[in-house]
Formats: sequence, C-alpha cells, structure tokens
Amino acid sequence: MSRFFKVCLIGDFAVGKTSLARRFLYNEYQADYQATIGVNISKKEIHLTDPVPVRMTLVIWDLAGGEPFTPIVEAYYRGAAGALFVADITRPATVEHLSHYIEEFRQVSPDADAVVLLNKVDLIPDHAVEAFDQEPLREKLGLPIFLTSARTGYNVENAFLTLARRLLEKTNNA
Amino acid sequence: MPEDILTTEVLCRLLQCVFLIGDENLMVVQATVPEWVGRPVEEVLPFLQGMEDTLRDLAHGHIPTMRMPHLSAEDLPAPLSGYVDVYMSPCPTTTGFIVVIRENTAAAQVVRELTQQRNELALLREQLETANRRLQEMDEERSFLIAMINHDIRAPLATITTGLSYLLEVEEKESRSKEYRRILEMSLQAAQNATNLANRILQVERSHHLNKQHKRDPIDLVALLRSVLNQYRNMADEYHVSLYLETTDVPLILGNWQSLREAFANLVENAIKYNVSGGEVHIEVCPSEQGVTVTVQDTGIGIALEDREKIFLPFHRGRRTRTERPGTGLGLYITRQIVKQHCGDIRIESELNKGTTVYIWLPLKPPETDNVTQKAKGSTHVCQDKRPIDWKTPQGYTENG
Repeated sequence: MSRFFKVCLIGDFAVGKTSLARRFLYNEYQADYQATIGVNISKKEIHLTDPVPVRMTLVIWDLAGGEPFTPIVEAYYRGAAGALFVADITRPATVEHLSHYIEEFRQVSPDADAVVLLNKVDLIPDHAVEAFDQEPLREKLGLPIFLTSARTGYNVENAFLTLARRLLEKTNNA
Repeated sequence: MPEDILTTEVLCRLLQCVFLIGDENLMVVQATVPEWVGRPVEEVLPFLQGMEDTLRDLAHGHIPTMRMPHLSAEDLPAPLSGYVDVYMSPCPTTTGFIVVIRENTAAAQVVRELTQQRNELALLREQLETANRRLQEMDEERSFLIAMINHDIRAPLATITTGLSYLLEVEEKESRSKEYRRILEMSLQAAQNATNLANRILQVERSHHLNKQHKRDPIDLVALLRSVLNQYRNMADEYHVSLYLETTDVPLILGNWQSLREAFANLVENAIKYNVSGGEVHIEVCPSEQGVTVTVQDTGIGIALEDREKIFLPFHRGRRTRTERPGTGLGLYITRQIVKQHCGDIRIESELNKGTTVYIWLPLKPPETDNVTQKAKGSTHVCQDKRPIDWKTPQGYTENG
C-alpha cells in the first residue's frame, strides 16, 4: 500500500515552481510563463528501493508565488509533510526571500522536512554553476540545496526524491 | 436523524458539493451524492490525501475553519472541474467536519489573468531595476577608466612625446642614419596619436557631463568660430587649405563655450584633414528661426555612401580616411553629443570626391532642463522637432542616420 505525503512548492512568483512540478510529474516543460493562482494539486507515486523497496505517493501542492502570508496561505501549508522552497538563481531577491518563506512555513508545519531548489541554472554559464558556493546559504537556511533546471530537467528528480527519502526516513523513525 | 445531518441535507440542496465527515476513521457521513456516504474521505476527496492528521484536528475542533480558494486538482469529485473554492470547518454539533466545495472557474480565470499581468509587470520592473543598476556600475567603471586615462596614460605619453621630440632634434644635428630617424618619427607619431585618442576620450566624457553642469552662458558664435579658425590656421597652411568665414549679424545663443568650441573645432579639423591640397573650407553663420545655423563646407574627399550611416558612431572611421589620414573616429560623435546637449541638430551632406557640408542648428536658448525632453504646460516638447530647415533632403544624414 502506498503512503501519501503532502509536499508544498513555495517561493516567489516566476521562479519555476510549476515548471519544476511539471518536469517531475510528466517530464515536460513549457517555456511560457503562466501565473499560478491558489493551488494546483497533483500526485506522483514513486518507488524507492534503498534500503527496502517501498511505494509512496507525493501529493504536490504547487502554490501561487509571492502571496502574503494570510490565513488562506496558512490553510494551504497545513498538513504538509514537506516543502520544496524554490528560488530563481538569476534573481537574487528571490533567494533572499527564502528564509522568510521557511519561517512562515515552520509556523504552520514545524515538524515538516524541506529542501531548497535554486532553479534556472540553465540561464547561467556552466563555470558559474560549478563555482557557486552553496555553503553560506545552506548554513543560513539549514536545509539541503539543489541547483536545478526545470527547462533541462537537471537535478529536478534528484531534489524531489531526496525530499521523499527524508520524509520516509522520518516517518519510519517516528 | 441527528440535527447536523438534517442541516447538511439542507446545505446539499443549495451548494454543489457538501460532505459531512465524521469519526476517527474520516468516513463520509452525509454527502451531496448518496453513493459517497460511508466511504473514506481519501476516496471521495483524494486531493486531501496526505493531510489526514490535519483533518482529524479539524474534526476535533483543534484548528479553525480552513478556506482554500482557487484550488485545482486532477481528481476533483465529479461533476466538479477547473477551479474550486474549498471551505472546511468543524461540525458544531458532532465530532467531524463539513466540507463545502464550489466551482468557481470563471472568477478564477479573471483572477489568473490579473495575477499574470501583475507578475509580468513586476518582472519587468525587476529587469529594469537590474538594468539600471548595471548601467550605474558601467558608468562608475567608465568614470574610473577615464580617470585612469587622465592620470596614468596621458602623463607618461607626454613624457614619451617630449623625449622622442628631443631625440629627433638631436638626430637632426647628428644625422646618424635614415633608419634611426624613421623609427623615431614613427614612434613620435604613434605617441601623438595615442595622446590624441586619450584627449578625445576625455572630450567624450566632458560632453556626457555637460548636461549635469547646467552651465550656460550667452555666446557669440562668430567670435567662437574666429577663435577656432585661428587655432587651425597653421594646420590649414600645412595641408594647403584655405579657410573662409562668412557671417551676418547673428544673435547670441545660450550655451557652453568650451564644449561648443570643441564641437566646431572637430568639424574644422575634419574639413582640413580630409580636404585636398589647394582645397577650401567655408564656414557660414546665419540666423534662422529661433536659433542659429552654422554651415561647415569643404572641398575634400567626401564620405562614401556605405560610411554615411555610421559617421556619428563612436570609433567609426570611413574606409578612405582610415587608411589615408590619422584620427580616432570620435570627432563627429563628440560633436553630435555636444549639439544634442544644446538641444540642437546636426546634419551632413556629402558627395564622394567633391566635399562634405555639415549643418548645425543651435537654439537661441535651450529648454531649461537637464534632458532633451521638456515638459511645458502639461505637454511634452521634444526640442529636436524644432527644425528650422528641411533636414530630410535625400542626401542628408541626420544624427540618427
């Protein structure tokens, strides 16, 4: 039997949350920017084999970006087992806002696990990606960081599966 | 039948989808569609899967009402589709909670379009701010480069030029070898060219900052042109070119003496340098509507058709001038900048091997603003539009090409 985990995609507008979800769910990419309102909910069953084979379903709540923290946003966060905080690596302000989103999310779901995705790495040169020092941000946010590209698919599945493994591990430990 | 169930039945008639979900197992107790009754909530509302603990808290009244507008999911209960608004609240009379779902696609589409526009505008604003910051950085870098040219390049160049000139003088007395002298002359020429380029770059910088200075004085253009011609008498003799100044009574204009002098000096220098031996340069100053027009006409080599569109670009040099005459390609660019900052206009006509005529029109009084555009009486006035003569003749090339 598959276990269900609600995970939220959170971050500023136009950082690529919906594109990341679509890449993970359907392995497809749409270049046009289409604003998300409210929340889009999708599911994906995944099979993990290490250490033992297990099926789990991620219920992905793709939230509208850049909304103020209201009771409505709070309602969207409720019951989340995990979160993927997304920023656009080419827009420094979206990275700066991450700590704010993490703090708000923790108020509603303090026990949830999370990872950070710095998306759109395809827009910066390869040498800049290689030279990017994640450590200061990792220390500041206290979360694993993934450089991703929804356009190319780079590291997207890895980021989602890492969160899934962490959620499973946490549940098993509990 | 308990009272809350009756209440739900009433609600069912009014709203599209209503569920009463009760007990610890989160089973549907009452619903709009009778078939849903008795089934677990994750079956009838699968989009709520993964948040069972929260739903139990809701059922026990541990958390307040949850409102989730504009929710879309692949597995909404039929007949719902598109966007829905979901309201969940604890049931006041029993352990459980009520879920009300209303389709709201039309309103959501409007919100989506507005959000799209808002976000696109915000993105554009971000891009503009980024570009503006980059421009400021580039301006600072440029200022640094100019300062470096001024302090660290011109001074050693002056030393080199002086040294080479001295060596050439000594060489004239000692007469070592033709090769030695040729190398000295080439070196001196190169040093002078580099000095000239550095000076031109400083001129460009000064012309960029002219608007910031706001310094405007009444200027007698005839006197200014006489001083320019006096400066270039020797050069004209060297090139065997005759200079003529034709004037009538012209009013004073408001401008910056130093920069206007640079602008006209560039034109006179070009007219001499790109002339033929025995050629002429005619400068005419005459009043025109709300301004003064200065014409600089030469009998020189002219500008090739393929070069005319680019003559105002920085560092552009025509094919012939590039090979036959020394220069930096900045003179006309600087002149255009200065004319623009006086809210004037510049136009060039040229015929290959016959000569070039440059027309400059300057207003009597530039608008009192630090930009080319001025707002007056609620309207926008672009001073470039005030053209006293027809600037659109077929052979003529304005500053915009």
